Amino acid sequence: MSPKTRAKARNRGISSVFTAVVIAIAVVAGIAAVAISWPMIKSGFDKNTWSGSMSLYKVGFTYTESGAYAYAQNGVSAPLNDTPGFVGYCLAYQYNATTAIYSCPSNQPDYQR
Amino acid sequence: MSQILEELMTEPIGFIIAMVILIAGAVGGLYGYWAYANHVTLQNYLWPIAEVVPYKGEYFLAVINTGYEPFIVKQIYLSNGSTINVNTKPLTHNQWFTETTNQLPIAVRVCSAVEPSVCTVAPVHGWSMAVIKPPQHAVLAVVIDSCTFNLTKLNITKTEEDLVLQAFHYSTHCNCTAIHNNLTTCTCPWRLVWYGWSGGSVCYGGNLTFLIQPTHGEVRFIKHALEGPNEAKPNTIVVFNADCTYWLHRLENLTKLPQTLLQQYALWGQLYSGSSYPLLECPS
Repeated sequence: MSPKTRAKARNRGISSVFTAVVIAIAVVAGIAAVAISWPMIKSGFDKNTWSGSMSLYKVGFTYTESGAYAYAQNGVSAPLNDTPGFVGYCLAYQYNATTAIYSCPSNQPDYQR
Repeated sequence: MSQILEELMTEPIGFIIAMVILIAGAVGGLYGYWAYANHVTLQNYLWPIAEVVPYKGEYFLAVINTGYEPFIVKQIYLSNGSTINVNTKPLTHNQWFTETTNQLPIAVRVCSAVEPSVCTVAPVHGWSMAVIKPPQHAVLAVVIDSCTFNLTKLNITKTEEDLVLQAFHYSTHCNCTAIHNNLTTCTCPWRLVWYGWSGGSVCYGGNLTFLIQPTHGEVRFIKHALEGPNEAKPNTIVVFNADCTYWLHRLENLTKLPQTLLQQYALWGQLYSGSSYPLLECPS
């Protein structure tokens, strides 16, 4: 076999190995990318779920024998004071005898007012 | 030059260099993507909620961490374009930060306590006003406190429960205020009092004029001892005028009522002083 033929054969071998390695790296990189992406994708879903639950978060008010009461979701409730206080994730206080002022996650943002 | 390139492309050294470049590129790319994914993941788990209410001429702002990723409140953005740097201590799950501002806050910037370069901006939710609804079956009543009445025909000592003279049926979504005026001294103490909720009571020491002014909904009166209108509608004022003589006269008549009715009045008093179980049904 002439040196030229031998070089050609070697080049073909190197090309094959090169292709195999490239494919291997691509497969490994793809698997790694998916593994890296999954927590990010999951966090996106979690954030959407949280946003959805927050957009429905409300508070209600009533009088009881012991005074005005605010009740939020998941059984959270607290007496209504004349200074702002927290009821679940809402901020509320008693403005006058029959009115409460509150701000909840379901309220519109200020910049949309 | 092209010969060197040819050499690099075809000889083993060229293969090794190509592999190194390829692997370095892949590792570098993956690392960059990993760093980006970490950043986004951490950012997605920053769950601040910001609320504001007007209070005493200022704005009362509160920021709560509803998630489990601790964060620091860095800045408050105000409606006039200015910002307030706050830099709080880390807020963990369900911890609040409050601040009073003289301008309307519109957003807050929070950064992860673990990785301060990861930040997010949360809008501040505006406020609403709500009517505090009384219980559906609350009753407003005129009562006489325990006292002794010395009349020629009548000498009795009664307790409050026995002397619920008049009850105003407080229907669903009804909200009214009672105002008293023109009080004069009298030996017979009267009170206008709510049963079933803490709507407060108005005390009277004499001749009585009281106004029922519904602010929301309709108040229906249960007519027994008191002569007057049947109901009061929103934005109207109903005035009842009475004096002690009148009421004592009514009281005298009241004692002549069947015992069952007296017991009924007493029962109202007991029920609406304690249990919230509705004895009276709402008007349909």
